[in-house]
Amino acid sequence: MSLIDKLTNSGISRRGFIKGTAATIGAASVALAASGAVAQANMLDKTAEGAAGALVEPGIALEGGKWVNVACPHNCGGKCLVRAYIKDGVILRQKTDDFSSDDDVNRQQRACLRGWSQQYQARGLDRLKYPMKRKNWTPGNPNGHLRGQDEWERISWDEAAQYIADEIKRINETYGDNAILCAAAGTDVMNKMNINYLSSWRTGSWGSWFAPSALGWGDGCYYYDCNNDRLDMLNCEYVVAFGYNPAWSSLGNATNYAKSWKDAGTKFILFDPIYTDTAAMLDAQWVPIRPGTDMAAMLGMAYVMLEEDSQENPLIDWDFLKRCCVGFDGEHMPADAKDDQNFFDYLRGKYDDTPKTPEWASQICGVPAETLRQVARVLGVKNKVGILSSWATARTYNTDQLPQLVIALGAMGGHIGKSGHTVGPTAWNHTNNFGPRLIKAGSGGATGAVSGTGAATSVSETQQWKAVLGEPFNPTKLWTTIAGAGPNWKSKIGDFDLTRKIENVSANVKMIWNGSASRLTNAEGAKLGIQAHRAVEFVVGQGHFLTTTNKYSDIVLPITTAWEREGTGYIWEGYYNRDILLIADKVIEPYFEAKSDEEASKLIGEKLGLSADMWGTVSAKQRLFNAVATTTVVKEDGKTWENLCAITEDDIKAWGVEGQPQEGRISIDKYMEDGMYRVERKVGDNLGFIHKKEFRDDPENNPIPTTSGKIEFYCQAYADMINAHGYSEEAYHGLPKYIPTAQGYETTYVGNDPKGAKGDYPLQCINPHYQRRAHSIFDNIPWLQEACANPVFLSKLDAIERGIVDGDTVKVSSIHGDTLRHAYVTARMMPGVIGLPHGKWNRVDEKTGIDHGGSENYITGNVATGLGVNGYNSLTVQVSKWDGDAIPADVDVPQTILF
Amino acid sequence: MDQQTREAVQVLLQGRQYVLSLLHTLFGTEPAMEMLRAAASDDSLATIALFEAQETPGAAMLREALMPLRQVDEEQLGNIRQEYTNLFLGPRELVAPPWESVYVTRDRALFQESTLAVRQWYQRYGYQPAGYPRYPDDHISLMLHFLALLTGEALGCLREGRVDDCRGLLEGQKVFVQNHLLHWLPRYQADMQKAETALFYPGLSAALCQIITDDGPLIDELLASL
Repeated sequence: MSLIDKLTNSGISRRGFIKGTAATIGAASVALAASGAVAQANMLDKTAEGAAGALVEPGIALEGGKWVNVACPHNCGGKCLVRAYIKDGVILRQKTDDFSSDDDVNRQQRACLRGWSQQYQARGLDRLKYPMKRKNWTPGNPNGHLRGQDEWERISWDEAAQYIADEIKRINETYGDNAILCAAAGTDVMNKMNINYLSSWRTGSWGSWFAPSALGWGDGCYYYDCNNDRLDMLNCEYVVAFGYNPAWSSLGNATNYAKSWKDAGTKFILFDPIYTDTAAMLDAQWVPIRPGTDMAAMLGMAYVMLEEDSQENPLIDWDFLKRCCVGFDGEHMPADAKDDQNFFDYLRGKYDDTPKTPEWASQICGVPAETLRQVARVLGVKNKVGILSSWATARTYNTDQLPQLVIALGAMGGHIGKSGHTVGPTAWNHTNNFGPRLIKAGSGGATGAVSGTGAATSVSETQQWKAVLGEPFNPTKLWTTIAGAGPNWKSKIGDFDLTRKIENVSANVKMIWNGSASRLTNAEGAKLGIQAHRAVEFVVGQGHFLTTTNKYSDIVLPITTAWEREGTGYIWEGYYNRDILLIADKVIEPYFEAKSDEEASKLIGEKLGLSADMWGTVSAKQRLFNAVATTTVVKEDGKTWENLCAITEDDIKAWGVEGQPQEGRISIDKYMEDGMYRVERKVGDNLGFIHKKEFRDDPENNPIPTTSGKIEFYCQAYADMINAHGYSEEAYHGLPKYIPTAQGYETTYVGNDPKGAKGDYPLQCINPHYQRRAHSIFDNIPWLQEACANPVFLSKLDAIERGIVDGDTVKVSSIHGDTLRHAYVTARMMPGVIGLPHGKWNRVDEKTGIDHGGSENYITGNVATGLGVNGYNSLTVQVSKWDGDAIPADVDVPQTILF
Repeated sequence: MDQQTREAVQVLLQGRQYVLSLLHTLFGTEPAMEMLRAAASDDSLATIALFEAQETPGAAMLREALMPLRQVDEEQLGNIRQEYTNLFLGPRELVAPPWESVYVTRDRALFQESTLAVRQWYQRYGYQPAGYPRYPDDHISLMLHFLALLTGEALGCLREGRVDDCRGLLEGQKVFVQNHLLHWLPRYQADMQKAETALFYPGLSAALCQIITDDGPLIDELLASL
């Protein structure tokens, strides 16, 4: 029977029945409406009259949208052009640079697979959507052990801000200074509240290339001028590089340029424990080397150069050494040297009865002595050579003096200050293209912000979790101060007494405030870090996703991505290609309840009585306009500059800002529309760069910023800095001597004796940067998880020894922790070394404490040596077949989703 | 259409509007005691019972899903609330995300082309989500609200004697249900059954899916009698 029949055939009482039913429905509706409101976001509003139309599916009309420039702002060094087709606030398509010309000299600025996935950072299902609070956390009753496992409940921004403000007040009043650890968040609030807090510093990506300014060199990140420009590199006959793999760490033009050198005839020799995709692409001579032993190899090669150099077969550039260097022999010691040891006599074994022969080096680094001799001859004065040291090599403990040795080795062959010769750090930075910028970003101008007097006590990341757990730590600000000062380091060092070790202090940390740095993924000792997070009274996390770090929070705050933020300076100059300047602005409204970091701070500040004006009174739009208007570009002569953008009265009106019309090379509209300006280069133009050319030509009048003004094979200032920190027991010498590294090759043996038997952790482990991610960013994107499976790379020999075959689930164990991965068995890995890719989010099994996510820092430790260098690549491990359930592929693991 | 039929159709439209509003509410917000009591009240259950028929089992399923709510105490409410948080708000992975785009496109992401298509449906009838453009338009609760509102409009037209307009509004809903809700609700409700707890929402989802499956014949019957 149909429903209508049922109603109409209900007999004599039909009318009464219909009436009664209507009344029942009416009563139910009234009761429902009175029972509470539906969440606002799930309500529809009538905003217009309905338009009658055919009853066809609207379909997806692409017309009516717009291509806009969007940000791929991550720190892989590419900083590539990404465009999105947006219609009515929805991203329908994505593309990259398809409008610039593309030839051997001027490349398009194409994005890599990460850039193409950027859209899923913005609209990923797993975006943090609302402020959430951990259920069993209440002020004063934290139940910290439940962090990472507890249930959650949704709260409003107002409630979240109130909780955070109250906890800041309570914890500061109860525990005083340094009770709050801020990691890339909250420092603005601390400063403005005049609260002294704790923050951690890192040498991070740089490793020991963090602040080589005392050695007269730039670090390759803050300073553009530490190698020759990409077009001069075409003149190199050889590039000898250490740990150099842009094909994984920085796809796009950083890799492309290296290939252009190869195409021009450059022969590559790459020292690396992995036969990398870069080595394959460049058809390089692969020199497999044990992690952390590069200094031994370099000393062995320096020894060969010294030993074999002769009138007939010159390998050393004596003229350059005598004019431009000190400390290489007894005749040329720097005035401030505290003892009279010189580099060449150290090579000869005068001070330790150990000549640094290639045979000596070979035992340590695993490179055959004959190979070291062969490469040493390549490094001789007659060849045009570029020596490139990536930061990866320097991300090992105790290698603080590696930059000094790289420079010394290059100086011996005279590969400094000439076309076709270069010596310096390189990695992703500046897209493999060094020299002063050809287009300079302008300034946003004054913000009107009030900074406050709160100050940070610094703890090295290599000590931070121990510090949170109560251990005394070194509060040095020495190296971070110098890193910021660059060539002016000498003027900054006046405040430090380098003859005294820095005294340890303690902090009573009760609150951790985490931001974008994701320290539980990216910092060493994450397992200890989780323990530290569980020990405190309050943890706040803010970000885009429930990252590994945010997972251990009590309150998480949803933060906007770069695509959702008003033009707060997405005009980047730092860290990328000198030929181009990108620009991007806000393109979509913030999704769900996301707010920018600054808006979050303001809300919390308001609860603490801080006025929003303290964050500045100049609008983001105005600051972006100011920056664009003051951006300048070099003219063809390479010397004079002009405004990049021409601006008219109408433009100023359209922007809704204050400003003056000006002449410029291109219209501001064109710049904003293209999203990029590229300076066109030609081989032989006036825009090239030869690093340290003036110094080489006339060192007396163009000193480098070392103490002596020359290249210091013996560097007293640098050694004093290392020793003043006091992280290492043993004193560092002014010469770059080989020191067995903490958790290095030697420690894979019983009693650290390579002549004896292997110990419990017989393999070395490195953490290569991996195509899937920029550090920890993008790890959750299903596209990338599918494309790049993130296994552990294991040599065939080591696999066979352990009965492991390709695809097996294996346990990688260190003294610090255990993690599971699928084995990728390959002959491309040097036996004795495994590669566990960097940046993976953890998935810890709380019952066993074993991570099922392959997070490399879950099995590294808090180890402080030398200058407090981050030593991710110093780790010894064992790998064994996992006898539990096989782990699924990352792409098959459900995303962690927090609504 | 005779007077008798018109009155029956009006009651059915009124009832349909209630059922859709009820579902929109239950899927659209964290549960509260009053809301659950209203949902399981005698009047509510009687309204749902109007739609019970052998060929359309959805209404009976809904009544069954609501029955346990009649004796809910504070503790049970807390548990149901946690179930809502886990299934709609997180933080563990959502076994069944409540948005269409997740099911109808290859990439499990929000704000896809299908989201725009849903938005265009709303626009055609003059509606816009209160959270526009920050919240995806294809949340199940929003889509149910859309149907409830159009049903209300259809009822209004009928009362004013605008039968053609009423017909248009019903036909529109039929196409919307076919082209959108029916595409993903079967998978949505199946995923819901994988939830760790099944206090309320998994059963409610199964009922919802059946009700929407039953909807085509119901609208056909209404259209036939206009």
